[in-house]
Amino acid sequence: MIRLLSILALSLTLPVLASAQNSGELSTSQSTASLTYTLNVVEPPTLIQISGLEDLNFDYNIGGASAPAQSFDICVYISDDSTETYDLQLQADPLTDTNTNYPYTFTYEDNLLSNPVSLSGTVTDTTFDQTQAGFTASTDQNCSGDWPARLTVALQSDPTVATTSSASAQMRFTVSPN
Amino acid sequence: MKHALTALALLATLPAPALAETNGTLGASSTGSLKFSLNVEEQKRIQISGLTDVEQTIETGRQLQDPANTDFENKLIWGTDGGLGYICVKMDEGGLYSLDWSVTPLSDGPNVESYDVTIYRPISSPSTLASRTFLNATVTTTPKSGSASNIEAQRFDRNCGRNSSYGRLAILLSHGSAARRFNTPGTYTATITFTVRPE
Repeated sequence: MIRLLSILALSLTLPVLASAQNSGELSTSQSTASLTYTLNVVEPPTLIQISGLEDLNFDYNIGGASAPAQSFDICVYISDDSTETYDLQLQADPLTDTNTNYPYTFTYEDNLLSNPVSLSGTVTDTTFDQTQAGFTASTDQNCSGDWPARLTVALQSDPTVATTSSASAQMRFTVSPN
Repeated sequence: MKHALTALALLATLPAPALAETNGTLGASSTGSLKFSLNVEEQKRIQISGLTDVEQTIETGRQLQDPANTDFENKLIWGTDGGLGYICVKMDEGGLYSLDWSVTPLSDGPNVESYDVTIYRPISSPSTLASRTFLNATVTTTPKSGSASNIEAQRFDRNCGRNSSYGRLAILLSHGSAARRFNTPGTYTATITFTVRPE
């Protein structure tokens, strides 16, 4: 009964579709029919792409010097020239092995000097998950000579381990036009 | 049975026939006469069918010839092209009919986009009929209409198939140039209407 009422309510809210009378009446005087030609002119969808990401590998020798921070440029392309900025959701997992978390810091920053937008964080034992708006995108899909963003990652401090270890984490970047 | 009813209905509406009456003479008996006639004609029924609505979508700034326009091509609304069906005019026992057509601008209200319309009677081979073009024009801001006559209809007991030239009408919709672009978003609609009458 509820389903029936739902269907009834749905049918009452549906718009009445315009339809041409495609076949005429059978008649001894005249028969009339028509067709409707509809042309939908639509804005193309805005497409976005992030590329240029690189895997990072920090090597640390026990008792050795601190592992230096690493950084690289990132390309973010938006297909629509009128949409210049994008939102970034950055999710970063803890860098951990079976026994130890290795805290690390990161900064994702806009390379455009006039747009000092960045998203920074420190990851210890929980996943970092934040969104920042206002980053500048490129209108060149290959970002030739003009990479719009830069990521820097560093271990927060030297690992205090006495034995060899191997840890890994994943960072995820989701970009969307705004 | 249908013909019988038609004849009956016709009889009821017929005017009284002119009488060739003869009056009798005055006498012990008198005989007069009149002429009784019945004219039964069959009114031909006519029906047009098979028109198909057409809908296309294009992105602003993109040329028609852009390979991304997978659903965009000149539309022939007849035969099996694009699965659009065919337009068919049938009459009892065939015969000739007249056609009135009207075409409206392609508009979303405030804006108008021009388009090309061809309305014609295609032929198949072999055929004793000639192809005829009733309209071949660019429609801009003004509706277009016109009429034609002496067009051969198909019989009701036959189909307007590819192998028949009788009864078929075709519409070709196009946009002039493969490089044509549309820059103003909107839902543009136009209506093409046919009215057919027995001759």
